[in-house]
Amino acid sequence: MMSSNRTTRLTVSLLIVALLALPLAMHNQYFLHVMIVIGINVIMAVSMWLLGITGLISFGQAGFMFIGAMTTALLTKNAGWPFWFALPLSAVAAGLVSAPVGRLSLRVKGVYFFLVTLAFGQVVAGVFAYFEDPFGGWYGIRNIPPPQPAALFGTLDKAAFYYLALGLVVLTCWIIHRISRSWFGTVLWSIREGDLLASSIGVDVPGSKLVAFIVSAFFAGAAGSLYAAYFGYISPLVFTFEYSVNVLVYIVVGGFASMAGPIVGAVVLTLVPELFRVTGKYQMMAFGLIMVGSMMLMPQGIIGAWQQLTTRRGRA
Amino acid sequence: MLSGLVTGLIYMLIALGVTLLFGIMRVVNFVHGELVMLSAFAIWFIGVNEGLTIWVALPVAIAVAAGIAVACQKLLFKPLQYDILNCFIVGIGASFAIRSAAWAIFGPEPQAIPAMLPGVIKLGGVFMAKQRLLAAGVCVVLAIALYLFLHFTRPGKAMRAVEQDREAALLMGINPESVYVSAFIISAALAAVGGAMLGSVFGVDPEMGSEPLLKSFIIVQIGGMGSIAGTVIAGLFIGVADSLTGTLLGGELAFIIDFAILMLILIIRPRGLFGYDV
Amino acid sequence: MPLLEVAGLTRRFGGLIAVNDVFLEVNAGEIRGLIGPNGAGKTTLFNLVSGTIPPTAGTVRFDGHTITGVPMHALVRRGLVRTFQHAQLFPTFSVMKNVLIGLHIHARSGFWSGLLDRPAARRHNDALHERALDIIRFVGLEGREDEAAGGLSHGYKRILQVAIGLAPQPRLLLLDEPVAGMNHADVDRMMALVRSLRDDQGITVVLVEHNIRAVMNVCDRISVVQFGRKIAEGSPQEVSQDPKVIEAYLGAADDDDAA
Repeated sequence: MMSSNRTTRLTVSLLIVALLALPLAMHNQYFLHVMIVIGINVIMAVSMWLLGITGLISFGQAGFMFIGAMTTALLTKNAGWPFWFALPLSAVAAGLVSAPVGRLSLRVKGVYFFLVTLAFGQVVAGVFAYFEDPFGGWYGIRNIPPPQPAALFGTLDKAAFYYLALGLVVLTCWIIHRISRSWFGTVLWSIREGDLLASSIGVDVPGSKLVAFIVSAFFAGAAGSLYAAYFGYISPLVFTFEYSVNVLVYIVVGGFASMAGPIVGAVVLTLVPELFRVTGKYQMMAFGLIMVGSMMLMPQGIIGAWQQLTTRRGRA
Repeated sequence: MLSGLVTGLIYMLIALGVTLLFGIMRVVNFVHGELVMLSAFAIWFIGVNEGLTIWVALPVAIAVAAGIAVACQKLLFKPLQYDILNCFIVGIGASFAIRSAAWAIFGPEPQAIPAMLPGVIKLGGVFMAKQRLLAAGVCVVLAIALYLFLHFTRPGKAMRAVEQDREAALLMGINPESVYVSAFIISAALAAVGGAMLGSVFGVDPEMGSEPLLKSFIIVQIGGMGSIAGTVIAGLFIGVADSLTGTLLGGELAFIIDFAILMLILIIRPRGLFGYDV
Repeated sequence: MPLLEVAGLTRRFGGLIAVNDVFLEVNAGEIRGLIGPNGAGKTTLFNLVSGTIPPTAGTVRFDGHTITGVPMHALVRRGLVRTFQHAQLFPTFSVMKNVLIGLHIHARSGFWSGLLDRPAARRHNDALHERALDIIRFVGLEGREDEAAGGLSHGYKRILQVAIGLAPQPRLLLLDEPVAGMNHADVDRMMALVRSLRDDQGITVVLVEHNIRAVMNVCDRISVVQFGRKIAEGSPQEVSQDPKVIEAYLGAADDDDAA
């Protein structure tokens, strides 16, 4: 974060207060719905970003999200467990699966890694799609119960879900921000700057990458759990490679250098398609073009461009 | 079983394009899958819609694919300095844009390309569509042709030189840029023929490029990036494995089996059967 | 007992034998030079000893313990550090940060302690900050702590590399061509630094170099390698008069097919 610490902290605090007060001012249900979707996307973007610090992009994040969603669906619907237990367990489930997958994927360098994670994402969807019992097959799972208390979450008013999403977003961002600013975070950055050099000063490069991979999967699982509880319906058609790519576009467009990038990217690129009613294949086209345009014309992202603008003004 | 082999061969052909490009330039061209699809549509459009023969349609399809491939190289990959991650990402973006554009133009319904060789033939008690045999034959011939080209012709050897040591090749008067362009063109041509074969056997639709692409990646990884022989063997292997899985367990599991094989190879031999030291 | 013992070390790459049955012993407190014509296998030897790549055969012992095949990042903890030929730095990090990373890793600043910002952690960080400044002062980069490493001149980049190598408090430092591409003044500055590494910090140094003058001036003993084999070893005077060494260098200059 380039701006002074105090300004940033003030801005963030004000933002959080504003976000907390939002449902009290705006009772528009559609608006709350969009905010919740933004929240889910922010969690996905920020968790993918943490892994990206090491220079790795996992194209199977949707797979971990699906695992989290499926865990919550099965626990709350079939086993009758409360959502509040299912949420952490879903994140843990995603994290557990990510450990062996990560160890195998990290055995290969560079582009091979991307391909393996991509394939993994497809496999998760494939497995869940194949077995109708208990995974719902292509039809997915319906009627996933909302969290208790039903009085809050079972009504048509989305305010309770909004606060739940907000809480998860703030928690996720706080944790990931602290990790990225800690010495472990610097180690992750150093791996991206030069993994051979990092190794030569004592960094366990594969081990550190694996930790980042697992943390990233953990939060993706949490996002999936939230998705399942909120939408009440999950299917393989949701957690696709396209979605993983969308999350990547949030980071590319928002900017990579700091955590503000994925957040801004997720917000902007969730809002804009909603506002312009761009869906389906047209959304894919838009995202494809935005991705290409961003990579070629504005690789530093929105945040990076903003910083360049403000620094130049400061100097003049 | 035999048809599984044919499919495997077609995927192998497409995978050859991937491995050629990666071997020479360390670039994975995600648009490759869409080249397959666009070529198939080009053939449909010219062959079916306009009613011209395959002998016109195919060269046009190859030209279209090559044109797009070179455009990607000049406009996307080269400015990004062939950085592996950046090219991968931008390729995904471009492939999304192309795929959805095709959907917008042609619609989601599958189209059919008439077989170049209609009819069936009886082989050892089994009826085989002649078109499938033709597809298999074409793939084998092209794979051999590619091998001969790379090992026995001047431009082919230039490509292998650049693959092994770019600077040494420069010193010998080989222009890497023209080698790169040729690599893109050849890999696009392979994709185009693959698209023609795939389209004639399975039909043409905007989504038809994704599965071959994914299968290509798995094939190339199992066989070893940059190795023609590895790609051929892995392609055959995957074709057979898919076909067996399809008969015994049901088609949808095929992908999972492929992935399991990939994971196994990663455990035992991460660089693939014939790949270079990772 | 020698600090570093290499016995029968061999490394093959397919059909090529890069390092062929090399025996080497380096005593604590020595400054050892490793020279040889291009392609002799010096860097590969470094790679083998430092755990960057595993050997095909042979053993490496460090301080009495066998370390063959131990990966590089684990060796750093035991006190064996290497630098790289091309100016390997973290280019967008400041000079200070480049050095600090190594210190934090050596001090095992963990994953969880980073999460919670306790006062003990802050004191720990301050102590490491001080130590980083000491190292930066020692190598002569004082005043440049906040400069981005990528912006330094070539000579200072190589010096920063040595500083980074010092962060884990090594007992043995392997320097791979530390003065490559430097002018005279920079070479002298680097060689003075190498000498003070041993004199002031007690670090044993092995350096691979092509700059014969620098090597002759600063090393106690020199080992000469050609085609993966050690062909001579001794004091700078002995080695410079050894006919095999002379032939290796002159012969390689005449020979068009030099490896």
